[in-house]
Amino acid sequence: MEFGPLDLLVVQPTPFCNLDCSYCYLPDRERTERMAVPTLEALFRWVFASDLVRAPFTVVWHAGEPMVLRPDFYEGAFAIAARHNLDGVPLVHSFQTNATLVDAVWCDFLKAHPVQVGVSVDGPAFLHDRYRVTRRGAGTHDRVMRGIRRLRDNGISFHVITVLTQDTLDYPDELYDFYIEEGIERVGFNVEEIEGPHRESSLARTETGPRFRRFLARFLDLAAEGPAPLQVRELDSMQRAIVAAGTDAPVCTEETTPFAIVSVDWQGNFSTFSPELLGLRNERYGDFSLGNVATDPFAVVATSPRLAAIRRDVADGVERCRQTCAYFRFCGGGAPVNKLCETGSFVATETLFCRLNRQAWVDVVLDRLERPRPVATPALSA
Amino acid sequence: MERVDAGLDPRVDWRPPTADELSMLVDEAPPGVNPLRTNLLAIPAWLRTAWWDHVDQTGYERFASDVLEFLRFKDLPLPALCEIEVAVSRPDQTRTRLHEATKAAPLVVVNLGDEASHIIMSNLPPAATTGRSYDARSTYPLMRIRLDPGEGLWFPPCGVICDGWTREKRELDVVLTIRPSRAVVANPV
Repeated sequence: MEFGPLDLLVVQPTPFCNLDCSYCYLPDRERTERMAVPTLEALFRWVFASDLVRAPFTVVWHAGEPMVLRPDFYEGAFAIAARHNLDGVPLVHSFQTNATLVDAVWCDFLKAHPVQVGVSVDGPAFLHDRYRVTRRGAGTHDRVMRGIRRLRDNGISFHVITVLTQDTLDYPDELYDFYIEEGIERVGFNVEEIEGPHRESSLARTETGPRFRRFLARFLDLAAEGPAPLQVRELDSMQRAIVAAGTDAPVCTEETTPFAIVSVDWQGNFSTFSPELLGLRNERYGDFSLGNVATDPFAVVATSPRLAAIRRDVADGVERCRQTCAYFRFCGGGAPVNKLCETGSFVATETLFCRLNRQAWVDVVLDRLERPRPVATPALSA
Repeated sequence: MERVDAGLDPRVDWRPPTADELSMLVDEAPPGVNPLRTNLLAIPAWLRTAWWDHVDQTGYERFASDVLEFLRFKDLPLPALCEIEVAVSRPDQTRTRLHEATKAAPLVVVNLGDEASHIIMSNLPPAATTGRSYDARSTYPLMRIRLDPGEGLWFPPCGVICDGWTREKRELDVVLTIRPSRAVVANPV
């Protein structure tokens, strides 16, 4: 099969976000529209009518703060998805939220539905409030923590995603302290990327590389050997990539495989490859919408010259990575959106995102794997 | 300071520092004056918890090594070999002998307890606090810094004398000190 299988369906229920984080990549986050019921119907009809659904997949409600819509919106959306899922393909709904709007009604909803919850929080207040702010520039840590504690008090499982900035790199212990004290057991790290309207990253400095590696090494030591173990998403995925790199398995990633990821905006426009592409514009490619779920069947879009042009350039970029990058076996060719936003083209190789989110992780994880394990010393007598 | 029996003790009438005195705590001491130049630090909560979890067990070496690793990550210029000691002192004392003449001067002190600790500092040379020299300088101010649980001080090597002061405490004072080691290490080559 040439496309897919669909692994991740990113749905934008609304472009609006009640926060205004300074590193955000979303261009229209002040718009308050919401996905209409006919669009939801068209979306899931389109998904299940395509031949992309060949395995279990995840629907993540994101790209705007999903909880600005109330739970009844999602009650309806989940029912629509189930109604179109005639073969009963296992699908998991997931929210990526800033948690500021979690209330008792949300907790009841999350307890009643098998939903995965990811909370965006950048650690203790002195780190979080530097970037994750309201439109008036006020910190949001207090409100996020109130939401996190509500989730915890209601026994709702969640993971967190933390964006690493230049400011974070001196504070691995403080970050670890924060997770432990808040009962957080699973974390994922994003880096502050150059994406969309966010044209500069605090991490784009020459001295960042060594500091970033030093931060990771220290944090992973704590996560593995500290008093409370932490599961780190990137450590797990990088260990899998390292194991796979020693085999003949083909190297590919979701972001470079057409229709492994499908992103749909609130109006029903859809795109593929990196989710952040939807809503961006570029001189060379225009926007990245490949059609609308209400009007453009997958079979038609799959043969469109527009998709073919983007696909060819993404593949050329991956091929250049294969030929030039020592980390290719661990990475599979990077993220198209980062290549585009940092170099202006998909036909590109190394980016800031690659250097930090791929190369640094490979180096640090390999170093840990190759490090001699300490020999247990016999207990001293009292 | 005041004479108590044969020794000198800090007085109890503490007052807030003047602007000039405060300037000596940072790098703004006037020429010719030995700056106190201390740096505040805080160890992570997990590390302080580790101390209490292992205080009765055999995990002290691991704890000490974790403390050094943390401080080195923070780029404190610690020597390759350090001595780490945890001093437990009873309340209501005007000195706890953190800085003993027979040992190297502390580089770092950290409050491991659950209650605030106080560290007293002087930038007078030790000879100035004895005999007639003292009589000439008995009103010379000492500095007292309050350290909440987990907080500490780092002293660059600049001749500052420090000690603990537990007069206002209700619980045992638990202070970690790090000194350069005086151990002689054989050349492995």
